[in-house]
Amino acid sequence: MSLQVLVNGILLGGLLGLVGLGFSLVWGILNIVNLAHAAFIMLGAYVTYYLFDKLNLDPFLTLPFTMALLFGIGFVLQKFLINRIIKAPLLVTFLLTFGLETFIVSLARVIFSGTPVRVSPVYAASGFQLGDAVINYAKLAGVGVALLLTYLLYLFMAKTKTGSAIRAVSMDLNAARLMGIDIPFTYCLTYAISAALAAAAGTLLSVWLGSFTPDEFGIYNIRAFAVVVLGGLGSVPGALLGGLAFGILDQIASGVNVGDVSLSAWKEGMIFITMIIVLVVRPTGLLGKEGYR
Amino acid sequence: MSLNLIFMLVGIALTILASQRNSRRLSMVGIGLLGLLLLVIPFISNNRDIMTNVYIIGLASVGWNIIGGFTGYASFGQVAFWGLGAYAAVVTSSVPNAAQATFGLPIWVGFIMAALVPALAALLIGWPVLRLRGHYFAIATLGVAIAVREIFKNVDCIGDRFLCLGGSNGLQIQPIVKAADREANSFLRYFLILIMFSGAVAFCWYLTHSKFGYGLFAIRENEEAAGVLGINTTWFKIGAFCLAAAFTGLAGAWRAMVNGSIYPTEDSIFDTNISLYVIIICLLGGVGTVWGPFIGAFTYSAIQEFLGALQGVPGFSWVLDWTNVIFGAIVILLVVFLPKGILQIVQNKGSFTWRIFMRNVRENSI
Repeated sequence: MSLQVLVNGILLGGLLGLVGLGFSLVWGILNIVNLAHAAFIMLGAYVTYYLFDKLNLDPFLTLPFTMALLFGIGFVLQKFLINRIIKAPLLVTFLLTFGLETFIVSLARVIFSGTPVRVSPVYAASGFQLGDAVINYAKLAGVGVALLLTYLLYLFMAKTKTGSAIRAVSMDLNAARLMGIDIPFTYCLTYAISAALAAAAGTLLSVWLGSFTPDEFGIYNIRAFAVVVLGGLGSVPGALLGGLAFGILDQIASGVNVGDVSLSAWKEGMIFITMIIVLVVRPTGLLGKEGYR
Repeated sequence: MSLNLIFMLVGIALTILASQRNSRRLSMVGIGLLGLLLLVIPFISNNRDIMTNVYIIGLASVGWNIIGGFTGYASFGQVAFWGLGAYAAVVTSSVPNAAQATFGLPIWVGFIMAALVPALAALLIGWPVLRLRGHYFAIATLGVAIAVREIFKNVDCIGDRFLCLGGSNGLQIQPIVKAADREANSFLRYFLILIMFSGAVAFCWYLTHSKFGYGLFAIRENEEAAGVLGINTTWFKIGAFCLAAAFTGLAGAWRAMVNGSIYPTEDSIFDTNISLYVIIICLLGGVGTVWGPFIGAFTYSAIQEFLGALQGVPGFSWVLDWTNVIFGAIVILLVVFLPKGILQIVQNKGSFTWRIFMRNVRENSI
């Protein structure tokens, strides 16, 4: 395994960890598998694109704004829509988010059109040499942002009062209510944070992908699943670890041949078979525990 | 307005009548009229293949309803069995030629295999996967669907051209029917699929009155309690999963027969949306009810047909771009206001009021 494979795996893994992080948060706290996550990633990418294209603003500078915007959208959605249905069975909430995903993505196709767009800051293609591996600046910075956000979320959940409230809600709803925690507000906050994290992932992806259309982001739902399952549900470091595991597996499979068969074609199959095995053998994933950490 | 849309709307109305619980006589009248309608449709419809597709997706939904509705294990990977059934039928029955080594057995053998192979696969997959619950089961089945698709994409021949799946090239169905025979064929197909679909619904009715069915309901309500009562929950669940896979596999085989070729891709026989459509259909009608998939299949197709017809109306051509937006909005409205399906309105004691919607919202709000 060359250094380049490892580097690419880590770069991809950090980004996928960020994709999985928001997904895992909503799943762990609200007990909703949020299929609209990919739609938020897509919105984040498009907001970045318009700011870059129309106002010539750097994607990394506009990141806080994009996150704040999606935070607002997520908050409003949870307050007026998802909180209206949160007590329904799993199947119903799952389908609600499927409806949201379909609605947002197809609306985006109407508004943004299906023409591929690109976010290409001047430094997009440049990188530096490390041993025999080339490291892309933008991708490295992206992973830096992903790590920073993961760390910030970890601190928020562990150290702040609001973070404790969120964890309390996921541990025991009734006890949390008796402690005076505003449950609907906590749900809104959780969903909004998840949407903001998705927006960050979208911004990083917009630079990473080169060109993109509204339809290309659906696959990140599936990847988020795999990341969360591999790393363990309800764990902030777990999402990062799952992302890294996914990224490195993906990159190894892309470059390796067994005999004369290239593993590249099998990589998606391999990742999901691994996911099923992990689910069956160790449903809590690598780092998962009851509740949220 | 398209003729098929009228059939679908009348079909919905008659199914509602047939599913009446208040009056047995009314229900029998509904079933009789519904049967009559379904029998005359192919003779007066201008495009009977549209109706055929309604029954195909309906058959798959009946399958999902057994595992997702009756047993309470929401599978999100039914498309795996849909695809397996399609492949089983084509590999068994398609006439071999230079390009592909299929078996060329009679078509009925193909359909038996289309039910058998997915059921066997469900046995193998279900044994580990059905130990998971809730979200974990949902995700695992989703993963299974992707893994199965990837396997079909990458496996070409097993052994020395003994069993060939075509890899990413897919399979073509031979023989190609002569143009003159197509008309007769679509007739035959309509009735065969109708028989299978109604047979499946009748089977579900039988299931809800059988010991096996009661066992499944018990598992849905409380699995531990069901186990304590002496129900072998593992085998009941696996049985339900196998039945669901068999029906879905049959439907997939029909889809392959209608299309004439299969490819292991997301937009062909392994269309991930199929897994979701069958669930939406059950949800539209009513999850875990006998008539739910039936009424759901008609309603779902009516919505599609209506949106399709609307595009043809002058001034409404914009609907083409907005079809999926409207579809998404309908799904959202449906799950928020009517999560128990259309049958909830019908079987509501007393008359219909708008309060049903508000009550549903209140029940699920926090």
